[in-house]
Amino acid sequence: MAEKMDAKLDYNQKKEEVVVDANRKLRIGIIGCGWIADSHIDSYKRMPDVEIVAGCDLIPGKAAAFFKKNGVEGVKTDYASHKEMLDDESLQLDAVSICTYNRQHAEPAIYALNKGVHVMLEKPFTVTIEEAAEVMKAEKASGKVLSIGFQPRLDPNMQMIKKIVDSGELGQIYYIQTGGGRRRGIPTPFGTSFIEDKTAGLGALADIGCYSLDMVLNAIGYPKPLTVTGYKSDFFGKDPNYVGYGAHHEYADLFGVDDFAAAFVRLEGGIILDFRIA
Amino acid sequence: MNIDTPGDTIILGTKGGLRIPSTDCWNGSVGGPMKIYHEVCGLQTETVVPIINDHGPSLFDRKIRSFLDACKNGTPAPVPSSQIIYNQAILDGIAKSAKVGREVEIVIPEI
Repeated sequence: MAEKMDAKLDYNQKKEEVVVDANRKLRIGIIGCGWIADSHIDSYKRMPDVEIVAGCDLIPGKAAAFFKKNGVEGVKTDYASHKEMLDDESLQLDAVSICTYNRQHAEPAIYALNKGVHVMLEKPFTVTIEEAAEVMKAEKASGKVLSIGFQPRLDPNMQMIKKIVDSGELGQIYYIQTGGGRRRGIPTPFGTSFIEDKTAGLGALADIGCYSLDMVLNAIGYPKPLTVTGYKSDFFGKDPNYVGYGAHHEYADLFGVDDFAAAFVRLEGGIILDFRIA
Repeated sequence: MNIDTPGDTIILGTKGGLRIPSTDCWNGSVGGPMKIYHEVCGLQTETVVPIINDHGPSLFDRKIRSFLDACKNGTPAPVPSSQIIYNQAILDGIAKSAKVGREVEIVIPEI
């Protein structure tokens, strides 16, 4: 009986095969060779129509080490900055993945778009709305593709949420509650780039809160937000004995973002969004 | 935080409600089979939406593939900034409201 119930809860669906024209290759660069860049390069390596030609990082030598670790050869990495890389016309770059920390999202994206290069920009979009607007102005002027890295959009279950709403099965939507969080999940895998204000700008609110927001807002057609009452706190991040810091008690002094946020948002169409993230 | 989850995602509508089991970070798929709470012939009931497994490439591969296709084919970005600007506006608004301690109006700059 238990097996039958499990079978009912698991729907197998064959995914359509995608045919890719491998004769037409795109020349790709990677800006920021840290944690998430591993996922980008893993995927690019599996694409038959991609040639990875360049990479750069603020830390000298990091880009070269990154490509060596990932077994990708023939990549130019001797750049002191993303500007130097994007200025190198010999690369004939078609697109870049921007995998930098949050405060280094806007400027490289603007520079790349102004150079006529398509951009895959990791989430969150930017740190401030003003930065986001500047990036969009560059996108509009360039006519190039700017895509923000929300991979759950490609998941069939996430897509089903939108299908259910669009079907009218729920009627008129008036209230959404969403969020998520990790009981002890402040990320310090490779230092403090996620927790310092000068690099991250925003903490859990943007790092994972943006995913919750995208899931529900995409489902209801992304209505315009009108007003918000928001709250942020940092009780855990500021605690030198936070279990996730291990021996790095000094991280508590460097913690300059949020580890919890909550909000009550009014959206166009009379919809209320009740949000919390940790 | 000192709790296991801040709660499931729920979407309430005039004809039905959708419960999406919680997960710590919505960077992949749903946390379990969803449920639609609705009426069938006047009876309040729940419909379980099974988890879909399409045995396809990883989400990251799909993300990169959809971006490359947009670049090659001149089609719109798979996750366009015209939507994510509203996501960013909410994040920005939460930060601003938290700083001043009261509700704020969300202003989207002219593009």
